[in-house]
Amino acid sequence: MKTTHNKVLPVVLAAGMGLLGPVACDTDQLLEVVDPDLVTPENLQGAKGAELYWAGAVGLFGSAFSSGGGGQAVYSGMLADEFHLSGTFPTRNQVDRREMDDRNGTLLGQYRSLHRARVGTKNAAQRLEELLPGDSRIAEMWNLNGYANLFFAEHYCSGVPFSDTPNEGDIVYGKQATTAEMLDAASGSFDAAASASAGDADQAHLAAVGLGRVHQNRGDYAAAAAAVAGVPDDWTYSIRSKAGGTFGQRNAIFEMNHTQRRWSLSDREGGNGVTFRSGADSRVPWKDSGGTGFDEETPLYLQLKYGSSEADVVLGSGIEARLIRAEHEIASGGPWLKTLNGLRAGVGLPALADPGTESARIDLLFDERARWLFGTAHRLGDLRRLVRQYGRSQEAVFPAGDFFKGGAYGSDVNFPIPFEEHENEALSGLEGRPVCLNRAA
Amino acid sequence: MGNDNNSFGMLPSAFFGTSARPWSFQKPAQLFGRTFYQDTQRFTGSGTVTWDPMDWLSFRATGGLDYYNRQDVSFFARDIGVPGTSNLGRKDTDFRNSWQYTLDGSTTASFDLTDGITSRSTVGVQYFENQFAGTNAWGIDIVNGASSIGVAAETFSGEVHIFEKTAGLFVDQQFGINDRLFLTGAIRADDNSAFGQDFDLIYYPKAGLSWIASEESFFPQISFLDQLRIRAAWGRSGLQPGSDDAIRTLSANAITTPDDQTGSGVSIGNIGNSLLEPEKSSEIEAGLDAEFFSGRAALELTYYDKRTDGALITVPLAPSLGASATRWVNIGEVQNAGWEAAITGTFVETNTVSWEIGLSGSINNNELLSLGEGTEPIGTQTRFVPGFPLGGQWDRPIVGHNDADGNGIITPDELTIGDTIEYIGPGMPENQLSISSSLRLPGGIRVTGLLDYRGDYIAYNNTERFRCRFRVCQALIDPETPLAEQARAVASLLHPSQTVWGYMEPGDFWKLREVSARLDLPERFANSFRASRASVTITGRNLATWTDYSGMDPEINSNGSGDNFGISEFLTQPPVRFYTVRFNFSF
Repeated sequence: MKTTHNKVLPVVLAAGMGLLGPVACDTDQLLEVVDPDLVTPENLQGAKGAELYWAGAVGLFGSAFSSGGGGQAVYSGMLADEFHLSGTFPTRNQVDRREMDDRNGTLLGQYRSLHRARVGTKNAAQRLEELLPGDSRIAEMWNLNGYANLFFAEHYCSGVPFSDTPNEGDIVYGKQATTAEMLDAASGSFDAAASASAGDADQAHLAAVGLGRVHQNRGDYAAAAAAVAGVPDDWTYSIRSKAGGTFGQRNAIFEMNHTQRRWSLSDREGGNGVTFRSGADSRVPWKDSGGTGFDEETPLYLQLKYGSSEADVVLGSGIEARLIRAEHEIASGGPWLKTLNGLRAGVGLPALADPGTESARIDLLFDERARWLFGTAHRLGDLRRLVRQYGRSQEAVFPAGDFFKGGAYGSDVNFPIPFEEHENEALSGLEGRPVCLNRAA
Repeated sequence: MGNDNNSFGMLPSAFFGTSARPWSFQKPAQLFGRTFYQDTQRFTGSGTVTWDPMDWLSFRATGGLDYYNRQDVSFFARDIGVPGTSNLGRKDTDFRNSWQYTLDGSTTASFDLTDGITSRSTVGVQYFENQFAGTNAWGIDIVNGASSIGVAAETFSGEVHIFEKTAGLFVDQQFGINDRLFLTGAIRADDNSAFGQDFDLIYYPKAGLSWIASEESFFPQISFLDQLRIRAAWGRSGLQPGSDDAIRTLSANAITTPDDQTGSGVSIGNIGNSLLEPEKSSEIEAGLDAEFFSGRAALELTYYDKRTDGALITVPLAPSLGASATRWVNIGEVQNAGWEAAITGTFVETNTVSWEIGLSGSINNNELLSLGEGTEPIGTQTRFVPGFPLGGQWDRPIVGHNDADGNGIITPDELTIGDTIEYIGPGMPENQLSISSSLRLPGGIRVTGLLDYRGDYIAYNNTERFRCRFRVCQALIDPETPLAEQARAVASLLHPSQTVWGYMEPGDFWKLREVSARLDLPERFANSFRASRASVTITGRNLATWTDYSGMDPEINSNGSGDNFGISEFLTQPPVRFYTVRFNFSF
């Protein structure tokens, strides 16, 4: 093998033959791949693309509100007094026990889901404004965006950052927003929805009820009542559920209560809770399953308001509008009892009597709200308002005392901001500390 | 699907048990009522064609295929008593196929430039293609007697694909001088498939030197030294991002339309990173190989220093972005430097008895040198901070505890927690050592053993932290529990910091990984099976672990082997001790 030859010829020959293959190929063509799993924004241009973003945002909001295995209606009801845990997940146990860890993976999923709904609805609204101006779905998107903002204000501690992943361009990190700032964001969205709702009464009414709820959270009951003044008594707006579709299309409360048996209907939970079972009220129908939940030890009580996985979940209604008006009427000396009894008469319930004191009237109103608005992500916000706006102690309104699965109830009145939010570059300096500005009601 | 750290795992059911409910999730009978199996098939094959048209010129082409098929199936028969909808009968399937093709072609010209100088020139191409396809499905509500998703009342199906292609071209030139000094220079260019964003061709040069110094006339004669080779090399390498890592993608989701039909929508899937670039590394290494005592002892020693610019890592994203949970980024500059050494020695060598010992170990220092202009430290508990190892572990420290009221129970106000997070330690072992030994005895007996050491890293005992979170750990129940143990539980559960500092423990361990004994069986026994030789080998794996770590095993990583930053156990089964008996027959 080792023989001496002309020094140039072999090298040239070897190099030439070796290079022949690659230079004969077009490497771009050789390396081209097609991934059938991927959809990119470039695939979805124009009006049709905007409609798909709209549909996606509807799905995101449904998941964040009450679809599949979770959503704000499901988890806020667990933290409040609507449901107690008949499942086993430690992370859900923390919610029911009102002692939550900011490393709680279940809550991280709920938090991310609500942010995805918030960003998705905003992005879809902006795409529709650009590509389908005048379309009523613009108002729908701003309304759902408003509710996403509102749920952050009602269910989470003060300090939730509203970061952004815009349709175009890179991500934008948000700073901690106070509860008041979150309500302002919700108000802005409902205003935008109202402006875009010309010709669509449903969206106009939804914006009005949403705005009324914002004012109610601010303690401005007069503005709240004024906002909902034009909402018809028999109007409702629901988020659709569907049986037989994918898991994420199903009514989450039915799914967790009936199908998975992990949520059980409460009664006087923690001593302070509403008598959802013993009250025998037709607005919260229920039955005893006769068995136990997923944990095989907690009696399973089935709510029947949502009787199937395709039962829709009301987001806003004329009933809520009248309840908002009643709260203002208590504060202003108006005919609050007539308003409440008018609602009750509509479903054949006997009239209520005036308990005599304003404090007792508020108790009565909030009890009525708990029953009318059961399972619609209102109760946790109401309990917080009782503490924040009506001076009750959290021990007097939230479930308290011994926890039925061992230990004692904690003192949480809202959800913490997950630890993972520390990845937010706008929050540098907070390492190792809670992102919440405060955990007060 | 077969994950063991959920409510269908044996360990979680045991770990969360209480006196009132010893098995928290499911009882063993329920767990064993599940049918779970995994089938794998694998074929690896390659073929090589060589052609030597002249005595100094050769061509070589190699093609290879690595095929892998895996089928995971889980089945709950109806009414076996498991909780939830699985009791209606549930079947899950996950089928995956992977085809990996490799093609190599090269041309080599070898000749002598002079009587003392040889030359070897190689030009070649390489091609790699990975095709992965998987389908998964589940069905719930399966009638008694059936076990097919096809008869389930409720079903789901999914599909996933991965396609990757890489092509490279290289030129390699080596000179040999007097068969003692070898100089190598090479350059290669790589390109790969990129979906949506095209990355530039990358060039990787390298150079090397290998010198058998002991053969030089001036080298001193040392009686016990057989050979000493000194080597040094420098090279650049790189890593392209995955084909769709840089681009924003959309996920499809099903919705219920106003007329109660199912429709499709899209939302942000992978957030992408338009600034993503290939990772580029430069490495120098130097070392020596020596043989002693007529081949009965050998030493390999290497020092390396690798610098990586724009290292590719996935980092979590703030959930408030409303996007994907993670994305790929390039981080500034990373250094990996350290020593690797291997020593082997034959201490006894006779016709019937021999005893060999081998030691191999490494010391690696990993440091993030910089994050790049204007980039803040990344991560929360597993962090990327300049001046510290990649993915080091951080949290607020438990500075102290003091049972002020003397009641033997630590409460949050009796803890002192640091105000800011501090570095705890590296997430992966920095020091490794393996000691192997082989003893051959008369009568055809051979005994081997392997002892492993891993040191200087932090293991996260997340199992115990989570049990305390659920209030079923000893620290929160038994007042006799040592105060330090109580302190870490109270800090993580009841103190506002919720620091997990106390559960970040040194993971250093020694492990008797394997002991094996082989006995050659009598020829007559082998012949009775028409074999010429036969032996039996008894092997024990994971026989003993010595460690101060308080969890189940400091080697467990519930994040899976793909996680390069942090070892954390979470209700996960440790490496099991097992024994095998194997018979070998030679025909």
